[in-house]
Amino acid sequence: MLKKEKLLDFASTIVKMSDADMTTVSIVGNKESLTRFSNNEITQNVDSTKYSFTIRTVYDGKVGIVSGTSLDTKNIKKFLEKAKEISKNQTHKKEILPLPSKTDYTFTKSFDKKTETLSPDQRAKYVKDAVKICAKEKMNGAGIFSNGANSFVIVNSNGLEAHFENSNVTFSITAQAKNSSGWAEQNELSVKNIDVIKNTKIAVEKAKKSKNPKDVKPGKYTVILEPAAVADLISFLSYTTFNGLMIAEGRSFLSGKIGQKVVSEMVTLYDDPYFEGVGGIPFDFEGFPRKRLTLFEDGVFKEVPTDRKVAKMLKLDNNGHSLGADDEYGPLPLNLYLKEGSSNLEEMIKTTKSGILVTQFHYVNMLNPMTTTITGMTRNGIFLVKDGKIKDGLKNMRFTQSIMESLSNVLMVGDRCIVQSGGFGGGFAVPALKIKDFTFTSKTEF
Amino acid sequence: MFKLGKLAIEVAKHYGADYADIRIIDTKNEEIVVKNGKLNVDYSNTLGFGIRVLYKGSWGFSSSDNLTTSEIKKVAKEACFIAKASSSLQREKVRLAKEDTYKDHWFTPVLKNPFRIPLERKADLLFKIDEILRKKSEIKVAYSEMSFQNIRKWFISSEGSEIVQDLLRSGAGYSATALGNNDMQVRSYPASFGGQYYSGGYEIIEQMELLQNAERIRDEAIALLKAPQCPNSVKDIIIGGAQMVLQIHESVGHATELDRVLGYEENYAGSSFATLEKYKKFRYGSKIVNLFADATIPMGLATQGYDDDGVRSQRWDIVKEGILVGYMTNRELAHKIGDRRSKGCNRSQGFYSIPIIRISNLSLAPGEWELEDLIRDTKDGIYMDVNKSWSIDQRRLNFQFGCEIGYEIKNGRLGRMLKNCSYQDITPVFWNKCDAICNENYWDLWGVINCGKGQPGQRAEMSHGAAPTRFRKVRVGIGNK
Repeated sequence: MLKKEKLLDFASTIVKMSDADMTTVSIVGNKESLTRFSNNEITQNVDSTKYSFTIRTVYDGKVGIVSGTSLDTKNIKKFLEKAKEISKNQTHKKEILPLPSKTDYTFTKSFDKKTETLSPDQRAKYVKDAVKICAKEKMNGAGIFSNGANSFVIVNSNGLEAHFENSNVTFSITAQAKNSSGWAEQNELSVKNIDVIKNTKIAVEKAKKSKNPKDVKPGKYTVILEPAAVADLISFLSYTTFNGLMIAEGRSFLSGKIGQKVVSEMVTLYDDPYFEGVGGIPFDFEGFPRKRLTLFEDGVFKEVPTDRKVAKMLKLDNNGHSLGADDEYGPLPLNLYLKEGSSNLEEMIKTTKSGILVTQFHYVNMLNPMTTTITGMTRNGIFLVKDGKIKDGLKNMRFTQSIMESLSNVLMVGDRCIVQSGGFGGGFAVPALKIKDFTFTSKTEF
Repeated sequence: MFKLGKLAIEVAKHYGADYADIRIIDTKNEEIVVKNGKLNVDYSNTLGFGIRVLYKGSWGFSSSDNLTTSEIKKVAKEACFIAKASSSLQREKVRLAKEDTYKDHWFTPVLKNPFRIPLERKADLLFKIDEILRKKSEIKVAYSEMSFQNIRKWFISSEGSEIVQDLLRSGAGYSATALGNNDMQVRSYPASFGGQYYSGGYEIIEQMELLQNAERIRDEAIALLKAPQCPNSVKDIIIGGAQMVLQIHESVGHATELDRVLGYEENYAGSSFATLEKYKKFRYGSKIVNLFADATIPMGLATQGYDDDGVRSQRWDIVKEGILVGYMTNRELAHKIGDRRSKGCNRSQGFYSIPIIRISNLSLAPGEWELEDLIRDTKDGIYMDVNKSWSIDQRRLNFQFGCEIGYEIKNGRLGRMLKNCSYQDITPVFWNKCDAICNENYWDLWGVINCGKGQPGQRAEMSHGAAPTRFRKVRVGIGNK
C-alpha cells in the first residue's frame, strides 16, 4: 500500500488545484490477497490493490461529487472540471455546512506490515495445514485464507488532514462431511494471532458431532448462540435500529426511547472503534473524531450515533458518526462491542435442560425494522442440548424473530468477545449469548 | 489497448503461463438522487486491468489500477507466482472447454446516451416525483434515483481473442416511506431496491411512466399503514412480476450455478440441492414451468456479446417442462456435466475481480392466462408483489420472501389491501405447486443490480423475465399475529 505521506500529498495537491468554495478529497486504498479452497484444493488465488479517490466541491451552495481510481495528478484536472460542471448545472441550492478543521485523533494499533505482505506461498502453506486435517477425517475442506490492508485519507480546504490504516487477516473454513458440516472463522489484525489448525479442528469436530442430524419441530426454544451467530443478529441493529437519522425521523424501534430500558439489564452495548483487535477508524467520513458511544447500558438506551444534521434534529452533540457530508442514509455505529458477561460456553450448555446451540446463521434479512424482526437460517452446526449436554446434531431451521425481543430475553452472556467481520471499517466484538423463547418458524431438508 | 494486452500475455507466457488473458476495463457511472428535496449527484470513472493465468492447471489472478507498461509487466509476473502457489495444492488440473477465438467489437444498442442528457433534465424529473410523493404529510421519506453505467471492456487472450465491448445500462425508480398508526410502510416503483434497470439508454427512462405512477405509489404507502396484516395461513398465491424476479433469482438462478453445485462456494454463498445426479431427471417444477437462460435477450443486464472467458453469448434451457435440464457454466467447469462448450456465464465485477460463474438473464417463459381470468379462477388467495425482504438457505431449499403489498382474493375477486405479506416454502415443492402463468402481455424483464457472490465479494447484474404466476397452497404471513 502507498505510504501515508504519498496519499496525503496526492489529496492535498487536488485541494490546491481546485478553485471551488470548498473542496474535500478522500482516498480509500485496499489491498486484498485471498486464497480460496474447496474440495481440499486451491480453486482461486487472487491479489488486488486498488485506490479510489472522491472529490467533493462546492460552488455557490451546489455540490459536485466525482470519483476515480488512478492516483495520477495528470488526470485530476478533468475530474475537477466534471465536479464543477455538476455544480454549475444544478438549479437547486442546499444548506452547506462548513468544513471541519484540523484536529487530533486517538489511534490504536491496527496495522501490521507482515500481515499486509504475506506471500501466496505462505497462504498456501496455511491452507495445506487445514486441508490435511480435513482429508484425514475424509471431509471436504472449503474456505479462505486472506490477508491485506486498508487505508483511508481525508484532506479538505479548511486544513483538515486525516489518515488511517489497518491490516487484516481472515481464516475461514467449512468442513463438509457426508451429511453434516462444521464451520469456524478467525478475523485478526495480525497474522501472528491466526491459528489455522485450532480453527480447522473446531470445524471438523462440529461436522463430526452433527452427523446424521435429527429433526425437531419449529417453535420457541432456549438457544445458545455462538459469537458468530450473535454478530449476525446485531449487525442489523448497526444500520437500521441504531441509524441516527432513522431514530430522528421516527423510523427506528428506538425512536423516542432515549433513557428507557429497552432490553435486558444484562446487555451493555457500545460503539467502540478503539476496542483492541477491532481495527475501527477513529474519525468519521467528514473527518470528525469518532466518539466511543454507550448505546445500551444495563439495558437502557443511552446514546444515539449522530452527525451534524442528526445532532441538530435531536438537539444533541455531533459524536462523529457521519457517512459523508451529503449522506442521506444516516450516521451509523460501525464497531459494535457487546460487553462480556461471566459465563463460558460450557456453563451455558451445562445449565440448559432443553435448548439448541447455533454456530452461525445464514442469509439473514430484515422483515420489519420497526419491530426489528428478522429471518434467516442456521448453518454449519446446530445441536440439540438436553440435560446440560450436547445430544444430537439437528437439521437446519429458519428463525423469524425480533432482535430487540431476543436481547430482552438474554439469560447468560459469554465471558469472551470474538471479533467478527473485520474489514475496511473494522469489525464487531461480541460474546456468546444464551436466550430464551427464540422462535424457529420452519425447517429444511439437511 | 490491444498492444498493452498483448504485452501482458507475452510476460505471462515468459513466466510459464499455459493460458493467460487480460481484461482492461473503463467504467463510467452517474448516480442522481433526490431525497426529500435534496439533490446528490455522483459521477465516477474507474480504469484498470486484471490478468488471469493458468500455470500447470492452476489459476492465478492479479490486478492494478495503474495502466502502464511497467505495471502490466509486474502484475503479469505476480499472477504467475500466485498460480504457481495454487498448483502446490491441486487435485485436478483445470482444463478449459474449447471456444473459437474472436476479433470483434460488440455494443449495447442505444438510442439516447444518458451521459449526454443534460443533468438539469434528469434532476428535474426526480424533483417532480419528489414533490408528488411529499404532498401528503404521512410520507416521511421520498427517495428517487437514476443510475447510468457505461463499461468499455477489452479482452485479450493467449488463444488469440481480441474483443472490445461497450455495455450501457440505465435505470430509475423511487420509493415513498409512510409513517403513522405505529407503523412504517414502504412502496416503490417500478421495483424496490433502486427501481427498474435495463441495458440501453435514456429512452428506457422515458418509457417508465415514472411521474404517472407517483401519486398511486404515495397513496398505497399511506393506505398500507391502516391495512390489515397478511394472515398467518395457507393460501393460493398469485405473485406479480416484480416479486417473481426474486423467486427466479434465488430459487433457480443461484441453485443452477455449476460452481455452487460442485462445492466451490461451500464456505460462503453456499452450495445447491440441484446436484449432478439430478441433471436431466429431476422434477424441479410442474409441467408448465419452463425457465430459460439467455445472454442475448434484448435489454437484459447480463446481455453482452461475450463473457469474461471470451465465450460468445447463448440461449439455453435450465428447466424444461418442469425437469432440470441445464446449468450456468464457464469454460473451467463445463466438462463436469459433459458439455464441450461453456454456456458463457463467467463474469467479474470489475478489473480487480477474477471472473466466476454468475447467473445469466434467466426467465420464466410466459403461459396462457389473462390476469383477470387467473384472479377469477382463484377462490381463496392473495395477490402479492414487489420484493421487500428475502432469505434462503445455503442449498437453496427453504426460502422466505416478503412483499411490499398484497390483496386478498375471495371467490375470484380482488379484495382488501394487505400489509406485511410473506410466503415460505421449499424450492422444488413450491415450483411443483405452480399451476398457472400469465401470458406474454404481462411478461417483462426485471433487472437485478445487487447480486452478491464470491470471496472477495463481487456484485453482478442480470435480468429475469416473468409474468404473474399462481402457486397453490403456500404458507403465508409467517410471524404475523
